[in-house]
Amino acid sequence: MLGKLFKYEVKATARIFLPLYFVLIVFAIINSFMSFNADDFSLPQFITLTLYIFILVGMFVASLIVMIQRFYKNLLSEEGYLMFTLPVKPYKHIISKLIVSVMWIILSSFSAIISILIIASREITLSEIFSVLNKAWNIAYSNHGVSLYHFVIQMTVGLIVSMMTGILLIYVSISIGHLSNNHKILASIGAFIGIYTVVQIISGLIFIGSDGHGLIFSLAQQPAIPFALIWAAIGLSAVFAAIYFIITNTILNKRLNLE
Amino acid sequence: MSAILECNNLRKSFGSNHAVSGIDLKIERGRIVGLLGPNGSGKTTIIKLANGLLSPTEGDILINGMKPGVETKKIVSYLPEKTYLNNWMKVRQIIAFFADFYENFKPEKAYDMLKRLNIDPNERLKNLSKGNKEKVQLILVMSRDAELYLLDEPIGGVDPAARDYILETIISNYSENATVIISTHLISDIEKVLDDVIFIKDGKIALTSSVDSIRDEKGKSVDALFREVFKC
Repeated sequence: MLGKLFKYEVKATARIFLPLYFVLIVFAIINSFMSFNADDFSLPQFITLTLYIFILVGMFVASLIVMIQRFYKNLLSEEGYLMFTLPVKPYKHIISKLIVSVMWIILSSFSAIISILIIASREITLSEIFSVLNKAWNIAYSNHGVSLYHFVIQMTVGLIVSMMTGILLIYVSISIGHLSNNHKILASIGAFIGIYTVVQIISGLIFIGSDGHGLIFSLAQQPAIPFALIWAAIGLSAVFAAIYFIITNTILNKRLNLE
Repeated sequence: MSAILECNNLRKSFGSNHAVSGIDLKIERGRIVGLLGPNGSGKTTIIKLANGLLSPTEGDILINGMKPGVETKKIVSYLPEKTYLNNWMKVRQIIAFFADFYENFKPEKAYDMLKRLNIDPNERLKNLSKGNKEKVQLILVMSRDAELYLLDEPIGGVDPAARDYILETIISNYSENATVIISTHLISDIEKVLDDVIFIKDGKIALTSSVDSIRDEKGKSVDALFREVFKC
């Protein structure tokens, strides 16, 4: 059933993202035909570049809006009557929407990178870019050795975990807001700000400590890359994600209150 | 075999508002039951409780002996009073959606009914009129081979001609062992198809009876009795 939910979630969102990616790449190609000469920056160039940047920014704004809208509209407004009478456990709705949101953020980032490479291809070839990246990697590797792999893995895990934590924070805020009878949107925003503030305070206390002798003090002293510290930060983020998930799931299970 | 729907001291409050206040009820298989009461009497709340869309404040509600959950949702076919159709699918796609999630859904039945009601399966849901949306929902719900149909105001938004077709669809599409519960306040329209009636007043049961005994013993129509019980 999770697979089916996943399929329909992708279908419902692909019709927004795929056209956006297409337009982004088209505008990148148009821009790649314009020369980047600072001395003669023509009006058409200015317009196509501005449009490209608008689409690029718009794509990430759309990721955020679609993420909120899919959770709120599909689960907690009228469409919820259909979704919650499917023979599916509520937590599967959360997971399918979470995974699909992460997927689109990653795909959006990739299409952004591809579009930038297309624009840059006028001035610099792909092989040149890769040889620069390769050089940078070799220098970093000679400095840090095997621990560089550790770092790359850590960054990847960290990015995905923090993405999930962010998305689940939005889900839990909307779910808490949904408990209010009259001011659901206002209550959601309030819940978001409240949780965010509390999390900042807790993280601050753990990492900096009230006397300045928190985790950072003890973990960040020796090696060049403070692995333990970063893992601790990722771990804490994962704990928050788990708490958001459990609260969201409890609300959807026990306190559903569809209008 | 346990009753298809059973309520034991079922209560549901929203803050200080008691929408359902202590209902005991047992509904057997193979019946068409009218859940009748004025607006705000608690009909919709009971149906939402049966679907697990709300949790009881006290007491419990059992479907085929089970609390609402994945297993009961497989055998309950629910028509809410809201239109829950999203606006991006075509009629054909929502049929595929139902077929994907409900094992007892029969697509050929749905296409057959769409044809009779002149609804184009390739039409987008957002382009349908409100009445046609309600018809599509009813078709989806009645194309399932369910054990319990919970229909909340199934005829409220459609014209009288379509009403007859819908009622006919309801009674001709359920198997003998299935129970249909229809909530409505438009009694005269559905009276002829009902076996039993349950009158709900202020979250409590005011009367349960078979339609025959109302006619035979009281010599009244359900509609007339309703007007008497709920006289303002």
